Amino acid sequence: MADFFIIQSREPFSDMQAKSDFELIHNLASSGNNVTVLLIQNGVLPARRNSLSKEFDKLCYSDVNIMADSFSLSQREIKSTELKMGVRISDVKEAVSAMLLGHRVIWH
Amino acid sequence: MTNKILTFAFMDPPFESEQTVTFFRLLDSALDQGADVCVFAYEGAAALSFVKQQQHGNSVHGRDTETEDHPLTKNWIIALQKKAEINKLAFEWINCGLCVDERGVNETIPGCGRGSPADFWKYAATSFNTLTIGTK
Repeated sequence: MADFFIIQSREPFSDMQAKSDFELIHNLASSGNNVTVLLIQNGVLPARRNSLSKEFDKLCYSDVNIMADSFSLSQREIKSTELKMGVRISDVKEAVSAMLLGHRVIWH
Repeated sequence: MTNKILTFAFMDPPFESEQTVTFFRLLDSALDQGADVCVFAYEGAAALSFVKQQQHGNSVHGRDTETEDHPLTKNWIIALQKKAEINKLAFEWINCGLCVDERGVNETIPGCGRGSPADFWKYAATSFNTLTIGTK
């Protein structure tokens, strides 16, 4: 079992690759790995409660730890009360902390 | 105690991509958390340290150069270099030589060197962890 930290800048509404990203994240978690995702830049968009992304929503109901970058949320006027269940607000420092812990940090 | 070294590879240019801002936020956080930092800048990122970057005004909004205060990535690098020095941390920066030549951005601020992907390999081999940020 390994620790993965995914920095997710891609979003599923204009970038088809994001759906593959979410599938990979789901598969990593369901294989028993510890997986954390930091949504960043436009990557925070599927975390908005009314956004439609079945692939992302699947992650919200899995064992994946999902965080959204506060700076990216602010830039897009997304408030904490507008986030989907299971998404908590955090910061890029989490990515650096993961690197310093030796986690496998991957940029999407 | 020896600091952990973190290496970052980045390829986005100075003023076109939101990823550039995120990249600098990551570097800043790495120094805040006491890491020595190595950067390999390639493709468009080779221009991040170009010394001839200049601020400009914005006549559409009626702002002169001073009021506009347009951010320059070379200044962000200088700020990180100073932060590292104050905190007694290493902050190394290598630009891909081929990428620099292609773009005519050979003149860099002090503290940024010229190298090749072999330097990235050396950085990664000696670092505690490495993050590669690819462009979209």
